[in-house]
Amino acid sequence: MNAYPLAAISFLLFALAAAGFLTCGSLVRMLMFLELMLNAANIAMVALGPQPASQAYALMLFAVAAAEAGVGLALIIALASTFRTLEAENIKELKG
Amino acid sequence: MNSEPFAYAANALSGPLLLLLAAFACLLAPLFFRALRGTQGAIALSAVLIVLAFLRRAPLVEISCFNGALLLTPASAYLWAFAFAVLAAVILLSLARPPAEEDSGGEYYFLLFMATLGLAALIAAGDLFTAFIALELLSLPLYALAGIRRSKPGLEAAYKYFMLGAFGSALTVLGIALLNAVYPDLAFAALMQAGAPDTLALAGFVLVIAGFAFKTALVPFHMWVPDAYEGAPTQISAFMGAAVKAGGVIVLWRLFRIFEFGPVREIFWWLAAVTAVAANLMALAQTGLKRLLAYSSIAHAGYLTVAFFGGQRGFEAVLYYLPVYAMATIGAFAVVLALEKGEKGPAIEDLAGLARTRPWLAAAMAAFMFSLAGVPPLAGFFAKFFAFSAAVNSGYTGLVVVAVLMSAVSMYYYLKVTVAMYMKPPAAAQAYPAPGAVEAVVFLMAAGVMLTGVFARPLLALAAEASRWF
Repeated sequence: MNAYPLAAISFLLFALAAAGFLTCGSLVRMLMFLELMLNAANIAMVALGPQPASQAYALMLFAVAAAEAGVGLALIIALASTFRTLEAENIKELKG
Repeated sequence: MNSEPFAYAANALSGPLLLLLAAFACLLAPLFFRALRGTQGAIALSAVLIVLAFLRRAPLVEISCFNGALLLTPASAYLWAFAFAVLAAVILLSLARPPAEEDSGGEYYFLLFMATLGLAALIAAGDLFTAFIALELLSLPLYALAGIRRSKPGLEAAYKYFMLGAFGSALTVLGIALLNAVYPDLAFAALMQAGAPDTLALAGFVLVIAGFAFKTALVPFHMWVPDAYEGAPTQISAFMGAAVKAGGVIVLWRLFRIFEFGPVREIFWWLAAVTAVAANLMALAQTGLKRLLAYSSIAHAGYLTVAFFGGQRGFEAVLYYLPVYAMATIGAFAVVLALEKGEKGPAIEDLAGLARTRPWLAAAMAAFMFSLAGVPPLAGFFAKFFAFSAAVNSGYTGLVVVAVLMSAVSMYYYLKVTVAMYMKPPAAAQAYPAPGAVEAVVFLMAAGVMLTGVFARPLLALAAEASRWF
């Protein structure tokens, strides 16, 4: 199978997720877009890379994405109980 | 085959291994043994001191471990010593002023150890993918550490750091995917041989550089830095300033070195110039000491990138610069820690009259500020001098002129701190706690900043030897 349509889909997914990440204001949604970005990049890795190595990389990247999600969710739970909101614009303790 | 490299590799790798054991000991021992509760800090400190005590001079060869994933060289030995020393200083600061609640488990030290192991792997990484995984191992614990107090400023710092850091990671992954499509072998040595990149590879390099620039905090990828440094526990801010920066700089140098000229060099040129200018200008307006130090750390990342353009001699300067900058930054954050009452650290005005009330602390802080500003005979001056002169010798005079001018601008805000300490009256008589471990760290760092300036030669010789192995 030709890998390029798959790669094109992954780039599109990555671009959409990045746009979503940069425009949405809710932390949970931002985290979801982050996971989408990581997984889209992972698809690109499998679609484009040399076969055995890139698949091994993809497996390790699953673990990285899962760890990111774990830390991110833990932070979001702590933020929700401390700030009572998950909109980024309402979380402004620090200057800047 | 000579058995000496093997013996060295076993010795060198047992250091990080011991830290890994100590990390789990800090995490688990208090759970299983009631008597060990509250001793995590002592376990952590003794582990890192043992590792530092058994550091050995590396043989002058490159030892490839784990199929080339880690390369042990004199350079990695030098930087590992640096990383472990930073860890020891941060643990000392954390012992003196526990950043989290007393009854919290050992997760603070566990995360700190994990981040240091990530930094160690990042320093020795032989290929781009290992470097990325190591960077994640460095970053993920730090996101949690920034918010470990679960207070409002801490959590805000943590989430900003996390969101932008993870965004940078995603960019890096996509970049690695693109590079992997062009180059089947992602080892740095293989990338050096690969020749001029085509469009796809160029896009990959740009994405990877952007990802690592997020962690090194180069403008325009610096947005998280001031908030993260201000909201995080001060001990962690010191670790971020000294250690994370070093890791990012090392990987950026490896990427930079692949290109003799061409568009990637120009990207680095602009990153260095924009960082030096923007960071210093933004620092002028700061009133909080931690925010000021955050902008100062961004500016120094810019100077370090300028040094890249000096080639091999420039990297020699970088290796001298990193410990010198780290000493001044850790020292300054230790002073912040000694003075802070709220979580966000003191404002610059709160330092008023410090020379009257605590003269030695004020003198040490002045030494750190002058070293960061680059005033002779302190170490910061020589670091900047070597960095900039290397770049001039390679013909990048324009870039160095920008950096030197902005370095002169930085004098203003570093002096602002000194002026507050020496020329303003103290606000009110306050009782200060007796000096302890925090002050010990302050004076150690102050001594380091002065001695490595006046007697630069030993450290410079080590840096020169190490720089040949990258």
